[in-house]
Amino acid sequence: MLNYSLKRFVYMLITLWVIVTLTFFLMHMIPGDPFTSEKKVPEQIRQNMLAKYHLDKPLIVQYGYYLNNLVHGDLGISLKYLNRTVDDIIKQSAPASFQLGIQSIILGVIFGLLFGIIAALKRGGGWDYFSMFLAIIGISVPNFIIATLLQLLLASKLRWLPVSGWGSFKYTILPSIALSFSTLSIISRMMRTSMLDVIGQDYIKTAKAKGLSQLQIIWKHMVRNAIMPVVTVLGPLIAGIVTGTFVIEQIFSIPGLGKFFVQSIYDEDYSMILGTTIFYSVILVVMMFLVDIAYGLIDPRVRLAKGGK
Amino acid sequence: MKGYKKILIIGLAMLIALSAVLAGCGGSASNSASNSGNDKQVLNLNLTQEPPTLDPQKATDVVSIDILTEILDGLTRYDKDGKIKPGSGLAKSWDISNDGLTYTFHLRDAKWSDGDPITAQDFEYAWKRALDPNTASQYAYQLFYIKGAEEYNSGKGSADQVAVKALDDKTLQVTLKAPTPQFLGLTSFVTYLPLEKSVYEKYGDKVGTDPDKLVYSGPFVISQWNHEQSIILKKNKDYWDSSSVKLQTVNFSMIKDNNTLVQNYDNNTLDSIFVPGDYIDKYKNSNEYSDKALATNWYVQFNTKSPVFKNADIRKAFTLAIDRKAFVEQVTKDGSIPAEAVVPPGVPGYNGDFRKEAGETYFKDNDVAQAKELLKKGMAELGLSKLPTITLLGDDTDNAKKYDQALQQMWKQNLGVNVQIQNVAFKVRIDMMNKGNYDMVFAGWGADYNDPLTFLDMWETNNGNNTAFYSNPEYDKLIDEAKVNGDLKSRNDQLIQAEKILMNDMPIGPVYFRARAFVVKPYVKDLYFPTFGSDWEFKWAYIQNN
Repeated sequence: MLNYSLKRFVYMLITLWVIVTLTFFLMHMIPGDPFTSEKKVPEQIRQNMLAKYHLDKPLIVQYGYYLNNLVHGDLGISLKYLNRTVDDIIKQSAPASFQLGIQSIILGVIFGLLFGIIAALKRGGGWDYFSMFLAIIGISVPNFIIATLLQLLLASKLRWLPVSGWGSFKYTILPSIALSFSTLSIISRMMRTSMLDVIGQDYIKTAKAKGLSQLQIIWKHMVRNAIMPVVTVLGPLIAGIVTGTFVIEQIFSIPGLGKFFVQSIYDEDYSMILGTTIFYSVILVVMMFLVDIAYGLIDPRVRLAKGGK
Repeated sequence: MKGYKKILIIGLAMLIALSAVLAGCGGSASNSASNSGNDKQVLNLNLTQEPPTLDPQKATDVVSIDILTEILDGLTRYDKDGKIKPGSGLAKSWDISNDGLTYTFHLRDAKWSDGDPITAQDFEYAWKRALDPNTASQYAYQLFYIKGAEEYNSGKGSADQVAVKALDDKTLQVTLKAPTPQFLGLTSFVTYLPLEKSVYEKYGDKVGTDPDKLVYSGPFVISQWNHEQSIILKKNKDYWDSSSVKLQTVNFSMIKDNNTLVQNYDNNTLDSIFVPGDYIDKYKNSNEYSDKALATNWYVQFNTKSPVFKNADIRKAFTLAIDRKAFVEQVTKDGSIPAEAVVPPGVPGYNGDFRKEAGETYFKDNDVAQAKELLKKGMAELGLSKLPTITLLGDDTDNAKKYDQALQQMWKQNLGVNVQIQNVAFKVRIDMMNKGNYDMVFAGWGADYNDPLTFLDMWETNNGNNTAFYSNPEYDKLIDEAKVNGDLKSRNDQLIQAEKILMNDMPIGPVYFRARAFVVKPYVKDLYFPTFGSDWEFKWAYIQNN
């Protein structure tokens, strides 16, 4: 397991280096630069600005500077939010995205599992249709529409919750629900399918024959065996959501990281593009790594197979 | 197996807790909504986004300017009518030499928010800092009217050679390269705002990144800045004119989404918003609605180096074939005004409005017959029997796409020409314009200062903003002369003459003068919407009968 983990760690570093390098050169291929503006400034001023941020140097030298700073833990200064470092911006905005992401994952996973289990157990009944109806909505209706509807109904009309903003817990409820819908849909559908696979298995019949109660059979035999595929998708799902989503953050005016990721490309804010890309990549890669380990913990066969390699 | 039981139990417990909190929050939110105070001097506005920087010498965007103009006073400040009067800012009065070159400002007794007196040295220091090449200030060129400024910024001169000098604590003397009628207005602009040397020395490049990393000289101070979320301004008790300031608090949210913005206005969370285009109809008939023309023009810019648009008749044909009235009434729908000239209304001329002095129009709107005639003529001149594929370049925002499609439709209908649309990201559009990599582009220009020159000098042959690559020696001569002409009457005549030439050669086809629609709650009084510069002026605003 240790060998396997070490190997995975080295792969992780290589993956990150490839991402940084590709992003660095690709972003420089976008026409214009961070200081391209509608009102053209005299050439000398432009040169002063390029020099201040080392953008007047050849690309390969800039790349060298960047990598050198990166290994020293310095992500540089934002070229749009002048005077603010990318580290600061990530530190300030990531917690909001995290909180929102974790809450929505909790909601999505709990309800997703519950609906999936119930749907499988009551197959063909009202509950099954209800949970699959929810799942279809979650997958086919974009979350910004769900967000807007929730906002309109619960905030604007009923005034139970604030329309937008960030602060106390109540501000997080609507965006968390809106964001949880797709997780809920994916998980409930997967859980339902894999539960149905399990229900028909012989060992369930054996369990029944042994006289175990219905609840014991469900928890001990069905859920444990059915949950494996669900765990597999959790990694990327969590990484995707925890790092925030641009649209939901925009709709609810949440000071998260999502908008930096998208907006920095429009602004050609080079250091911000790289900073957010690295940050997201690290989370994604780490999450996938953790899922692999979790997978091994849940199912010893996986652990043995991977550990043996 | 036990592990799963635990997970499920914890999950269910969290679910129950969450529902309980959810239910609880609902109650408290509805209570607070109905419990608004009476005439609390609190104004709630939306800033759309985080200000990129509150370093006065580095700020260039309108969001930063919105905040900076309320927390820092310059030598002058525009009054409620958009005029500069002596004593409106930190300069009590000023003298201008007979040749219009030397300005001597006499400062009033005023204090920074840290208690230090505001001195002439603070201005000298700030202006020279903006010009210092190491500061890399993008708007340093706004100070290039000052003698020695450009030389210092380009490394050919020194700070000592910049002709701005604090004669004593209360007297600032500035010598300009040429008479510049807009100079007094410029002294209210952000790049010209003062900065205390000790503050910069203390915080360096971190100036203006947090409320405590700046000292204030304006009507308000920042009491709280939650990045990406909100800015709270409080009345500045040390402000020299604090008796005019009635508001105690101004809360800025940073909402970008249009639907969320409108809901917050309807919910009374915001007291005034700029109405997004799609929501104009919702408010148009309300007494809270107004629109106001801005000093901004939007036009179709032709690449005069392109094989087709090098011909002036074809440029005119495309300009005349636009139905501006329909465009502003059915497409922008925000009170914008059809434009048949370059300089927007409201920009001052010699003795009133430049637009009125120069004449309202240079051509007839939607003159289809004439447009067809000119197209035919132009194509004959170029020896073309058929136009090649013509592309209209534009931004990739929803609004821009809508506007471009409307123009495309008009050219198809009125001229029978098929125009392709190319929508790209803003910076890509600018880059393509700079490189002349386009046929036509739908572009706009907002005033840098309140003078016709800001809309006209950009079309000089060697001006960096002349991305139409237009060149007319007669035009260049008029603009060059106007720039240094101390006789304001003849200067105005030169500018009128220049605009006439521009509209005859038509490197740009004016489409509309931009207006902005806004709604304001009836209890908000004296909130002003300037035609250029910042979005609001709320120094004099107050709340009544709320």
